[in-house]
Amino acid sequence: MDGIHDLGGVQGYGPVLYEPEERATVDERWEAVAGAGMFAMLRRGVTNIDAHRHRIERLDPERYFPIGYWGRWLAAVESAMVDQGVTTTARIEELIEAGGHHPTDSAGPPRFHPSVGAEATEHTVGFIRPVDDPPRFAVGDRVTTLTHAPHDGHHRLPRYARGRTGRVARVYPAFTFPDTLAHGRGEQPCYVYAVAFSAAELWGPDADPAQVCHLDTFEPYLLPATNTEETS
Amino acid sequence: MTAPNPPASDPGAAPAVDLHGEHLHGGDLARAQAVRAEALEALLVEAEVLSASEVDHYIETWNHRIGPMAGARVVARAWIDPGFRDRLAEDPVAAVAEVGVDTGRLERLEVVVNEPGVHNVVCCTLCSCYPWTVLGLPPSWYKSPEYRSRIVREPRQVLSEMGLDLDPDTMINVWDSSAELRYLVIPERPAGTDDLDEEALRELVTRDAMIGVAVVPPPDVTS
Repeated sequence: MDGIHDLGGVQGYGPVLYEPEERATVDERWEAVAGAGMFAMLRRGVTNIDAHRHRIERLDPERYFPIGYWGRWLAAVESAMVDQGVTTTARIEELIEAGGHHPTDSAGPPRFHPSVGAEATEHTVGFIRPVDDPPRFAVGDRVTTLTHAPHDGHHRLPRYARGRTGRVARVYPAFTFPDTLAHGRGEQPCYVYAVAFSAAELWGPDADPAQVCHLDTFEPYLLPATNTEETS
Repeated sequence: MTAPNPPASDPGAAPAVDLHGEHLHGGDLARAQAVRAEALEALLVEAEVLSASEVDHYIETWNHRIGPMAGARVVARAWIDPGFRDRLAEDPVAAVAEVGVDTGRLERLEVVVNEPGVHNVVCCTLCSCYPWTVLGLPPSWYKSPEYRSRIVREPRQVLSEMGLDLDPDTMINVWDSSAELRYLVIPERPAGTDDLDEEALRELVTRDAMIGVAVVPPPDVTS
């Protein structure tokens, strides 16, 4: 989906709030509940990581940033619990009210963008899968990405890299396909490539000539390049 | 941690109030989130999806057991052992295990190697994928919209703002990890470290250099 999460190349943001070697920890228990709840559901096959990411993508856009990283996880945990029958919204709200709060005081599940299909409730560990066919592309091949988003569900082709031509820089094994796994349509493993795009190809002729962006790209997002020359 | 708060006179200054929730501590929203999380935890435990002690186990793991010390072991060995460097390129997960890092469920790690004139930097524009196994939890800035939006488009400028001024001719390779691969930058070994053993080299390696927003500084000659 073309969601708020797809941030690559969005303009208007200021300096990164950077503190060198900032210590990265979970500082509040609710953050750990978000993480532990998610991993527990993954381990027990209640959901999978692709469906989890899609729930985050589907969050109401105006809520996405204010609730932060762990807030997004918590909302996705709640959403998966309800969708997958672990509990009901009524029970969650009952407990929040028992805690002296109103359910709208904190970050609830996504409301407006429906999922194109729920994930299956069985999940095999890991992502790399053996496949019979060889990779379609080799290092050095020129490839062009799909021009449009593959569908309104979960996919991993960012806007900034659509309809762009690059070169295969690395060929990776076949991985489970997020587009189908997130929506109960099986693993459909496919090869992943690191595709190198010149800055000019992505950002225009004035872009830095000494800058290349490599994107992990699933094979179904790629076609052999038919244009004669990408912008270099 | 506290976010840096640039002077108001700086036209490029970020807002003093954190608007994107990466430092959501102590306020009304954080308290409400805590109540919501308590409700979810109780229901997950009731459904036997989560056990009560698991949350504490994760806190202990994330805050104390995993971290950039693992990545530093990989980098230090790569600096001193060309055979290890080769194995790291061929089968990175096995190589990482070789230096005593618990690779857990990590299936695929890619190393990207800095060299004179070539600098690598890692991001995840679509979410915040990050090599937890070798670096621990991601720092807040890595998850911020500023970093996620700008690092693919204007990496030289972003790195400069973060204190890393690269030569205009230095090629910047950005790696946007949008699949289940995780990337680790092998920084350049700093000058003046020929006499240091592997353990001393590990001490020099910084987390931010392994993401690619910094370089490993030469050892402090005064200490």
